[in-house]
Amino acid sequence: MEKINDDELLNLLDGIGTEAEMEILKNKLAKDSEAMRRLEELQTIHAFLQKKNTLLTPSKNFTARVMSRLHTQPVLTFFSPKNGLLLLLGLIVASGLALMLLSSGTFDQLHTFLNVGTIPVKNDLIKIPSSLPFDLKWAVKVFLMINLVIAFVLLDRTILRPIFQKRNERFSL
Amino acid sequence: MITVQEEYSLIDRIVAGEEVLYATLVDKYKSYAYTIALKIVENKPEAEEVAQDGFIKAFQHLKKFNREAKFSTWLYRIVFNTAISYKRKTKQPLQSIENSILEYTERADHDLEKDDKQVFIAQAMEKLSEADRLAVQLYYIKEYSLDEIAELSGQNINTLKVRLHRARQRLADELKRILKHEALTL
Repeated sequence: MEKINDDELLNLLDGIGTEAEMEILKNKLAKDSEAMRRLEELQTIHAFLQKKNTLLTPSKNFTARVMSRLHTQPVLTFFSPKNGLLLLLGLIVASGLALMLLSSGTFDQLHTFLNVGTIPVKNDLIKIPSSLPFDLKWAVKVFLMINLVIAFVLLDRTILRPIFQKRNERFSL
Repeated sequence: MITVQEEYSLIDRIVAGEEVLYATLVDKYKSYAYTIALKIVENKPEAEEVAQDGFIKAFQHLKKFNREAKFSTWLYRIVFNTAISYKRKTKQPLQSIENSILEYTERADHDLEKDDKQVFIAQAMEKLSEADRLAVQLYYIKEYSLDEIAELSGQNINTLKVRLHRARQRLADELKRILKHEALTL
């Protein structure tokens, strides 16, 4: 006789399958004491989970609180103020270092040509130059600009907005 | 009870500016949203905050709701993702619901019934992976079908089915093992 597996027993508990399939399974179960014992074990788990997982009700003022905050930034933003502040500090330190090196002239001599003549692309329409000038000083300046933009966004999203939002909420109460 | 079509027209009116009507949707779906959040963050005040944030995010993106899925599924997906990212962000050793039951029943267990299976199942639940435990908990809320749970949690339905079967098998096996151990130590 073919052995009844756990998947079949769980489908029986979940009520998945046609009536005919269930009937066949029940008949097979009646002759298989081992499967019957396993069904009882799974039934215990099934009953426990059914009993335990019911819908829970939030606090009474849940809807009112949502409605009063519809146009505010969600409290739990991706960056917590602490993480945002840490990242901001990191950006300031990195930018400060880059600025110091830039002003001391460290990158002044670091310009070179990137050799692109060896790229194996055959193109008759566009002429690819054999080399491209690369100035590290410019690259650092671009890095600084990007840092500045990110720093402003972080300052706004993780520090200023939550502060003003909390202040507004306090005044509106 | 409002129909799907009535819900869509309600959403149209909210998007058109009648924001107060959003309270109807919040009232209708707050329990399930809160339950999902609680199952994930395992802390009541934080679950309230997460569920509220989910509703606020949904409101702010209501114009983008394309009606391919039900509003509820779309909303629960937002709540689900908010809760998951919140939990990842905080990573606090939060008090688990299962734990709280366990602590209470364990104390009662010493005084009252030593062979209470519920305590052992709660213990076994703790041994499941977080994803397996969550799948089982959402499934047993019995509010939504397997397809809808798969959609809101962003999982493939077959993966979810396997997860559910595997989790319950493990629970049954673990319970059997604990009961056997208990019988030996008696």
